[in-house]
Amino acid sequence: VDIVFIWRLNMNKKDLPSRRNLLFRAADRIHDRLCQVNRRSADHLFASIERLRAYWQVLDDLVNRHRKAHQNCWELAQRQTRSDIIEQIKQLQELVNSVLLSQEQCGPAPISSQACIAEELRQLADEFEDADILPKPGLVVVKTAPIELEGLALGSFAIELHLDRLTEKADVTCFDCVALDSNPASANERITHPHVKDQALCAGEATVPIAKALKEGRINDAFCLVRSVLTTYNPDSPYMAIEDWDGRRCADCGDVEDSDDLCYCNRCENDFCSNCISSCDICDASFCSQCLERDPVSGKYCCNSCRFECAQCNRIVDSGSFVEESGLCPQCHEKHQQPTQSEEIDHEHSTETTSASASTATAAAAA
Amino acid sequence: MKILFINNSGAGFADYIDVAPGTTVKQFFEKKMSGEDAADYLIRVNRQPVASDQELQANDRVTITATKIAGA
Repeated sequence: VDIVFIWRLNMNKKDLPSRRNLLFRAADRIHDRLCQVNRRSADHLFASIERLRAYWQVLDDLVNRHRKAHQNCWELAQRQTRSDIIEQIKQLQELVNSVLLSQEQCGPAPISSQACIAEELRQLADEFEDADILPKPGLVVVKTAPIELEGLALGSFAIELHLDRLTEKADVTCFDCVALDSNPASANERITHPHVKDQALCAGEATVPIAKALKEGRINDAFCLVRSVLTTYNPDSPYMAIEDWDGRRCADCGDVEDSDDLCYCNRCENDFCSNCISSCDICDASFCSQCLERDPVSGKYCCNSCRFECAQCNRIVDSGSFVEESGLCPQCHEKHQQPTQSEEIDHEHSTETTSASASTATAAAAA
Repeated sequence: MKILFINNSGAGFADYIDVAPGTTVKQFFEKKMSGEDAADYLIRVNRQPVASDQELQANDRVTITATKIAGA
């Protein structure tokens, strides 16, 4: 991305009047945006107070009803209204807590004066290699020194503060981090830094202080905090780990893929591309082809948890077909059952013969 | 004497605080950021870089910003 540096904060002395003018215009614009944020926060507070009033009105009505029930000795009504009052108080308490919390997090902040904001903008020129104000798109832009994280050269970044976004929410989303000498992750060009995707910074521990600094008009502090994140690598939660910057290889075919497109084998715990990953036909979990075995009779591919080995013929048997009581495949189980069944038939046959002879003898005796 | 202290760590802090006259920047940092290495922080007094033995004056504006912050 080419940034046309129209206004330079570190211009020559002859440009001083225009620079000062520019600074104050930008400071005024920022101050105006932050005041809007504060006004919105105040509006939100008033709306919450109206809701509190409505809750209180309901509570007041309930108390009157309870009093009436008490005066008339209506036991059942007293119990019911008492329970409703407690419930209403709980809801009121929840609302009060949420109002206090939202005011704590997004409440109005003491905004610096326009002169202080102008000082903050002026300080950017001291802290960064380049600091510029682009009035037309409403940007304050600084350029960082080339950034290198654990040997990975990422080049310089332009940190852009979009003034229009300040009206919506004065937080890290007002910033874009644009790679000037882009060296994106090979698997995903949208990732230009382990903590930057689509030019948006995932600020982590700096999220709260950046928002606080912006809300108070401490623009230089907010920029410095963004830079501190850009110059730090957190291996615990990057968009792309530095070791995978050049892509991650499929453990089977070796193709380099975006990490998000790789699938995990639940057995060998390696990552595989979509062509090399498969799944168990019984439990549907993903496994690589090496970790699956095929039941030659049912034709199903099974993971180690969903397959058994026949104790008789050593065949791989899917868990749906396996006869657990005998530990055999259906075919061996059937064979194993046959002698038992013929023995039972013989036994039944001999029993029938004995009873027939007995009846003949009884009939003869009667005759 | 009172100075404005802006600590950009954690939840952020910006308020006037009392410091003893004659307190140097180093002493102030050690007191406020105990256990931390000053090299990991950007310390500015009245928006300017300062020597560690500089004495703080009333109404000074001290800013401390970490130079290494873990993103997510």
